[in-house]
Amino acid sequence: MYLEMLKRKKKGRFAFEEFMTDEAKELFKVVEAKKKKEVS
Amino acid sequence: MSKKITVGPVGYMPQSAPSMGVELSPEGKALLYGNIVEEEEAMRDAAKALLTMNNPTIFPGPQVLWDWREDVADKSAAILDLASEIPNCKIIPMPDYRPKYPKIDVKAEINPNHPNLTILDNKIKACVFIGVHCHYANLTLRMIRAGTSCYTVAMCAMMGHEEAMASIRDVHADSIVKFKDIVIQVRNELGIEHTTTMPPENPSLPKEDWGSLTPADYGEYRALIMSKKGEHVTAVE
Amino acid sequence: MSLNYMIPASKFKRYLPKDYVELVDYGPFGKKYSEVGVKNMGTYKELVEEHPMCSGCWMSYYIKIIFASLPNPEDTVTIGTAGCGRLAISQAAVPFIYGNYGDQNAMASGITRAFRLRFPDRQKDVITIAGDGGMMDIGFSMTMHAWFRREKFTTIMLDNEVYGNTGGQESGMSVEGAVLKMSPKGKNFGKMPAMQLAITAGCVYVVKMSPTNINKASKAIRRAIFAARNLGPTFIHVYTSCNIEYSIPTPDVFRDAKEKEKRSFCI
Repeated sequence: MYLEMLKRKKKGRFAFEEFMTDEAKELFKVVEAKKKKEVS
Repeated sequence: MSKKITVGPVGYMPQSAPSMGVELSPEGKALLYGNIVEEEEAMRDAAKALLTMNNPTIFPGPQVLWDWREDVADKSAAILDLASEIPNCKIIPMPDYRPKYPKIDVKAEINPNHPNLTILDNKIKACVFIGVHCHYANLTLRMIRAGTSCYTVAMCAMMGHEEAMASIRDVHADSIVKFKDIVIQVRNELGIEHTTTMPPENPSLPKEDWGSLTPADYGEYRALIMSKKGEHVTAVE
Repeated sequence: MSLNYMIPASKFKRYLPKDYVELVDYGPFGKKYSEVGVKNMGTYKELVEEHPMCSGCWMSYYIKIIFASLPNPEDTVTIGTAGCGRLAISQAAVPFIYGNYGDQNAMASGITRAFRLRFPDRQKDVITIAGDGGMMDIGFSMTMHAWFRREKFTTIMLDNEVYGNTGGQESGMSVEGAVLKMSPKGKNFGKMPAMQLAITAGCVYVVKMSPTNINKASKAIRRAIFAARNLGPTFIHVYTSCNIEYSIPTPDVFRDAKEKEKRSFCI
């Protein structure tokens, strides 16, 4: 199964249900920004 | 001296030592076969057992295997010195307490949940537990008494263990050195000749021979490393 | 529990079993996530490798993802309860605490609070990983109350829609009409709305997914852990099929997960 996943080259649409509060949204924005900074 | 706690196997579901009337020793004393004795007497008996019985082994627990406190370095050095003075002594570690599924490598490690497997497979007749947390040591020692014919020595940094044949309390680096001296003394009394040798390293450690690997060793993944028809692999990592 | 527990006493390294030496040398402890993580699985020593789960178990695959996604494996404690999952979770090189059936979230509450008192300067992650029975049936009250109290830890529910470990009884999370070995007439009522319950109870981050994509699954886990550190309870409801009780042939497990993703684990 794991291999099957590795082999899958075409990116499909992945649906999943996600809920976050406004606070969490803010937090993730900060985390993402930090990550981008580290990469650049 | 009547022996309350004897070398096993005493059978499935053994009566626990405290219920047989064994009490923990007071400070400065030790337990030998369930009786409170002088520390040196217990150490001498333990040394005799380690020197005369087959396959003596030291089982270091997580408290001395991992570098989590400052005194670990001294303690581990003292344990290795002790092991080097016992003829044919082996070290089989107990790195943590997680259960080993689907199978434990009995030559390489011991597990508190089924210590009898390691002891029976290696035909160990005398062993030392050191640096194992007390709640797991109690469990393990009773299991060994129940199912194997192994003489157990508990070297505990706290109050000792009733279930062991010889239990020494408040063990730190200096008491291990003292025990080593007693081992040398008893060895000389018994007339056993021995030159200091370090115990062999863990049998699981020698490197695998990659040169003799064949695609068949990769099982169902062999397709990944074999070149396809018409494919020429030029770059090699 | 801290990086020191992963460093062997210098003299003892040659007496440790190979597994542990590899964990020390090539494990994820003390490394950056970019060096390890799910994207690099296979290039480093993973926290859980051998496990006694059935062949084709989708749950064991997801448990591997959980452990590969941990941001701080050396400062993490996992708590589980009876069920298939704990067989693999207890094999990981991360401290695991086994709760009585259903009380994993109550225990996690206490442990999280104790960590915050004992290590005020360090971030310790607590994660409860249990099945649908432990989380939504038998441990329901303790799960809900931990959320109501806004305890700051992550809850992961491995939903296989059946009591797989005890022979196939229906659980609250089984789908309506599911015919199982121990419920031959089929289930009378539908799946419990775990996600809605979590949102109502005050979870700050809730995900319901079928983990067919490793990166998305990993991202959800890491987000849940980060949010739990700072804000409050987080919950991941994940579909991990039981191929034995639902008689899914091993090669079709992935297809089944994809189908679930399309049918009931999407918006």
